[in-house]
Amino acid sequence: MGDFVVYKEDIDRINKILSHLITESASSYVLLINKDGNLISQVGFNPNINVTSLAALAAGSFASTKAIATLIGETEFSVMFHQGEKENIHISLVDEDVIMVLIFDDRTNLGLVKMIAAQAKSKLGTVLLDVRKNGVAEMMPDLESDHGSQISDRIDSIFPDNR
Amino acid sequence: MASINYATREISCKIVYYGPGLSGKTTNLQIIHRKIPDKDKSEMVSLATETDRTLFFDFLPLDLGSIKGFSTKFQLYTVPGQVYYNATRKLVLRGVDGVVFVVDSQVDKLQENLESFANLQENLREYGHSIENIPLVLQFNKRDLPNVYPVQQLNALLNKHNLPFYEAVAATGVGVFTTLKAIGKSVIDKFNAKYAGFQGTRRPAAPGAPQRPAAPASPAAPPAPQRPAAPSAPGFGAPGAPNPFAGTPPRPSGPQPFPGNFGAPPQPGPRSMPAAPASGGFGSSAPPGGNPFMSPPSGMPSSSGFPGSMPSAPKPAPQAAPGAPGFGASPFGNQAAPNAGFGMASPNPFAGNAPAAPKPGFPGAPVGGPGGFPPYPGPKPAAPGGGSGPQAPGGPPQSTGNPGGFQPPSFQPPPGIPVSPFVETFGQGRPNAAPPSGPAGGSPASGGFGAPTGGFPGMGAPPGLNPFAAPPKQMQPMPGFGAPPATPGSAPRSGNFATPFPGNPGGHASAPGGPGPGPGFPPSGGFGGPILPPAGGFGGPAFEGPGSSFAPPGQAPAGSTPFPNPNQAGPGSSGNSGGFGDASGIVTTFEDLQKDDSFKTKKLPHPNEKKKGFFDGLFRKDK
Repeated sequence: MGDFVVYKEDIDRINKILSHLITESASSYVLLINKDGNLISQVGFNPNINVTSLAALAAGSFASTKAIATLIGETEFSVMFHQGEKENIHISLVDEDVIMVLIFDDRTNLGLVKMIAAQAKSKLGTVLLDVRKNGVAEMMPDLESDHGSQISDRIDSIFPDNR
Repeated sequence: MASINYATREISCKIVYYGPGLSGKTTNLQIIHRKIPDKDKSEMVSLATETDRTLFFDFLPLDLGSIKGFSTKFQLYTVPGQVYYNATRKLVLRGVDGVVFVVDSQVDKLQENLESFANLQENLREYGHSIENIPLVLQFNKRDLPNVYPVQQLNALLNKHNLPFYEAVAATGVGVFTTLKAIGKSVIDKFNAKYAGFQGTRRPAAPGAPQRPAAPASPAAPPAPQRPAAPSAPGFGAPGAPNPFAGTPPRPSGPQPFPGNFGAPPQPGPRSMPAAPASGGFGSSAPPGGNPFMSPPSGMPSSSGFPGSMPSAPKPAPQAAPGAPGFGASPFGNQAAPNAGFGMASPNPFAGNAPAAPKPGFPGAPVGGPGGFPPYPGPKPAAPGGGSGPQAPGGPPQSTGNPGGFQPPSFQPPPGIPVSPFVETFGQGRPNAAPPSGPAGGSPASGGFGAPTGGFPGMGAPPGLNPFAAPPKQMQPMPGFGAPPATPGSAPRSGNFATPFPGNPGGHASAPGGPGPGPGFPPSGGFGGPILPPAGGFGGPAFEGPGSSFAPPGQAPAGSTPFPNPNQAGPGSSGNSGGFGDASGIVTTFEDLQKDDSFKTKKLPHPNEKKKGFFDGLFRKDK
């Protein structure tokens, strides 16, 4: 499996779809993550959600339900829904590697969210097909230099007492 | 599998701490987390049992800051070490870029170490990795304990692959960062080796041939544009534009896979994507490439912004396709989304019925201008204009109820303005709240938050309403206004059902062809709320007969029967001025209602009274 490379053009396309999704479903927030737990994009109003953790946990949650699915003879569940007192989360599979996490509250309803999410899913799928063909562009960090050593230095600088 | 995001210029790598149970994987992360300076502090997520055994994984994002213009992030994970959690371990290993194998150095843990390592190999294999091709370091942990193998022996026993290894006492932090640095360097070196010397191409050259860009792209790549939406006009969009990614060092010497395709020479990099598709593309109803508004002038970073930056914002009408229901067409969606965000022009397919769609041609129906938000009965009057006009496109002008006055009375929605079929009028948007008799209200396309009829394309969200402010919970939608005005004269007595309790949302009255559209409604739906409880209920003078179809406030319609209270007979009688039964039909406030004698004069007998008397009599007789 290659690296997941996404460009600004892709993100723009994705964000446009996600914005529509947010607006039309009256959700508050949407994340696009991949199954590794990496955040691809996010749109909406984020009241101090720790997005990185949310992405990791949602991916983990999705992965664990996949294990449940196999127990009952399914390959995986394509949609998960967690209902809270105020906020709800709708997690759906966009394609084989990408997951969409929608956060919404009682200003909308699940049926609507599901419907709009399904529409967005097919549109996102098209974009993601393009994204999968992405290679790494010319703008990698200077590959000739010792990038790895810089990582070490950076870690040293972050943790100065622990050289 | 690293994630490379050119939009946010981030490289994200996943590093997993693996090893047998209780070997110190979580401790490693805890130490790292504890030592992160406060300014960079990120949250560590632990999915652990009550006894602090890792149940699923621990997760610690580590931001290393910008390196050569790319923000480099490590995502550190641990796995649960217990043998029976293998399924979970496998899940966590997905997409791993580097592994730290934490060895418990104690003598009696050797077997567990070996099993765990074998398990790691097996799990990696399932993801197509192997020990050889993935960055992997060993950490010999718990070196401070008495009963441990010497390092050399441990290395001989475990390190068959000659992996780098580090001693550590994770509990005290010794060796933790050495290990982290080692794996970090290893991961990045691997990453660089993978792309070393690679000048890159945005996509594999040949469409349909998903080759990995492992080699520098050939300049002789086919000139066919990769995306169908690419505008064909030379000079359109990107070609002459500087690379939109600020700070990118231009590499004029880089190969240009699509030479001449778009007059590419000035473009620094080989990326040949014309800009337009990104903005013209997907979700937008505009014909791709055909819309001059969609393409930013060259020199401007193409489609730089959020979707909201759709350059066509000021004139959404012409190019928006009226079709494309459900997606894309609404200019409001585009504009409101990124800033006002959700909630505003928010579409709710189930809500289209709400205050919407009075029968075309009905005169003076109080189409709630502010009606977009009737259920917020708070002091905040619905904002003028923005949401007004639950008006069917092409319908007659109905501005009576619009206090905002924003809507020109004669405004005709221009054809072609997209009507988002998903319209929500807040609170009304409860599914199934649809009054059964909603006249013509069913068409969501015509109802609700009538963006189009508002005719003010610039207004994504009605000003004055905080889009982010959640509706106060206690303010349930009070359809004092809600239901579509029924045809006058229908169900004339429906007012009877509307009990004067303030708690009554008036739904009775308004639903089945309520008391009519007339003055009975609160002057503006937006205000209608608990303070006008009986608005729908009694308000309408329950017109009878089509002759009295409409009465302006304060004027008793001839032949109308006011609220059927025996104390108030006759049209126009106003024994209680300002009261609910006023012929004008205008109910003012709840206080007025309380003052109204008509409530107090009639006292219903207690249902049990008669019975009581009956038994009393019996008992008396017995005595």
